[in-house]
Amino acid sequence: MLGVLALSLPIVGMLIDMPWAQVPEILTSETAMQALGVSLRTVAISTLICVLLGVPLAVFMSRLNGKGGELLRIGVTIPMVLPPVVAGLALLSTFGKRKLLGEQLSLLGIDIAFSATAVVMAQVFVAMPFLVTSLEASLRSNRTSHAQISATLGASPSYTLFHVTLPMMMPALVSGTALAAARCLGEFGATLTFAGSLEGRTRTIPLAIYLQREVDPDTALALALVLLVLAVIVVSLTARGRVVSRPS
Amino acid sequence: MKKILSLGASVLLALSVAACSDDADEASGDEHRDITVMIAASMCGIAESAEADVEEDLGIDVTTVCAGSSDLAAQIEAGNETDILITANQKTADQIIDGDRGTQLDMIATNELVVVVPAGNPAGTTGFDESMNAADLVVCAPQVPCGDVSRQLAELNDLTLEPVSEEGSVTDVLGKITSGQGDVGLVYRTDANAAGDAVEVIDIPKSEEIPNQYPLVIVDSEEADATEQAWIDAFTTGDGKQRMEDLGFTTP
Repeated sequence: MLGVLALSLPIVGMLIDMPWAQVPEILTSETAMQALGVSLRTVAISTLICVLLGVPLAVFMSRLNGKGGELLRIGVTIPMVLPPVVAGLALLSTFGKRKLLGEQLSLLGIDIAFSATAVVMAQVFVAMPFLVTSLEASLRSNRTSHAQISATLGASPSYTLFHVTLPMMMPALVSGTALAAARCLGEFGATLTFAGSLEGRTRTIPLAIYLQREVDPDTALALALVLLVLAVIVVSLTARGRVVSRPS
Repeated sequence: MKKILSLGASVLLALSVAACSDDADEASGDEHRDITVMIAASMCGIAESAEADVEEDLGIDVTTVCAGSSDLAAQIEAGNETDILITANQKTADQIIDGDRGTQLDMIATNELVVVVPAGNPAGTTGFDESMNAADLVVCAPQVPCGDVSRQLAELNDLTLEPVSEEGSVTDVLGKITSGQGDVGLVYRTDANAAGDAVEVIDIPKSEEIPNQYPLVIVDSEEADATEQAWIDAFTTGDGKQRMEDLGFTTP
């Protein structure tokens, strides 16, 4: 019971503090619309990249056994547990304007610094592990027996993948994608460290909240409400994923 | 052996009596007590040195809380107990004073804005001029004090800033420059000094006209008591004053 209080009280406090009367006006303000725009655009792209790169990785990992699989799993999980600022530093050290890859890319005419690309890279780096680990766990617990049966019945590996494995992992894919999208949306430290903050270009909702809090706590709270609502949606999506994936 | 022990004991006794009488002299009328000091992040380092000095001299515990000025003000407004507040701008101090939560005593230091470029000046910035806009310019957002000063200085020098990023704090700006991600940035002289050889510093014309001020506020009281005054003295005079000047602050 105390646990429930510890987890819910701050949210209740925020909702009580919320300047409800001004919320519509604040959320349609230039500042909010710009931040919302940047967030929605980058999160959509980041989530897509997470799925495109993450699904094959999860499938591959679920088939790996032994030391190699263990090591890969640790490697994939690391960005997830790193403090976000450290994730930002890692990106900066690798893709920074005057660093190893950044300099080469810049010669090719690709400038990542202070661009929406940098925001997407930060989001993908911290969010993809959420999708990969949840999907891999589900594949590992569900796949083997069904895939084996499918194989013994004479199905080819690709037929098994598309007709048995992938349909079975849909619920986990939905919840994993939702988790990754939520993480992208909330990403703050890595974005700030790596991509900077400019209205309309790199300033996502969390960055706008952080900045507005300096001058206008009400706007910060109203923007926080957007993230809160989206979080609720994501949690309900992942909850549904769990229910459906329960083996019958 | 016994003799040595008794000798030791009497020395200890004599010492502690001396210490007691010493304390009694100093405290005359006002007992020293543990205090809490909230201080702007840019002065955190020197506050910790002063804390060590005062703790040793008075035998009390000083708690130093370092954070951005608006975070500190928000904490005090939310009811956090503290004795002394030093902010990095007058506006934040006024917030506390206008809310009847404190009294301003002094302006203890000022700081000024400078241009910083990464070592080697890769973008060839020539000063506080159009060359900054041609490069990746990083400044503080207008919402935070250093951004406010940046904008005023640009106006004063007939320049429109075209940044690629507006950061939430001066340390974020500096980080972009020391990492080489940004080509040129606007930060306080003290932060530029702290970065050492990683950056080169270029002065800004008329920067002394818009200094960044550090007011000292006694929280929930009208004047400093003996302990608070002892801390203030340790921080703003003698070694403390020297420490501030070494970092690049201008002291009155």
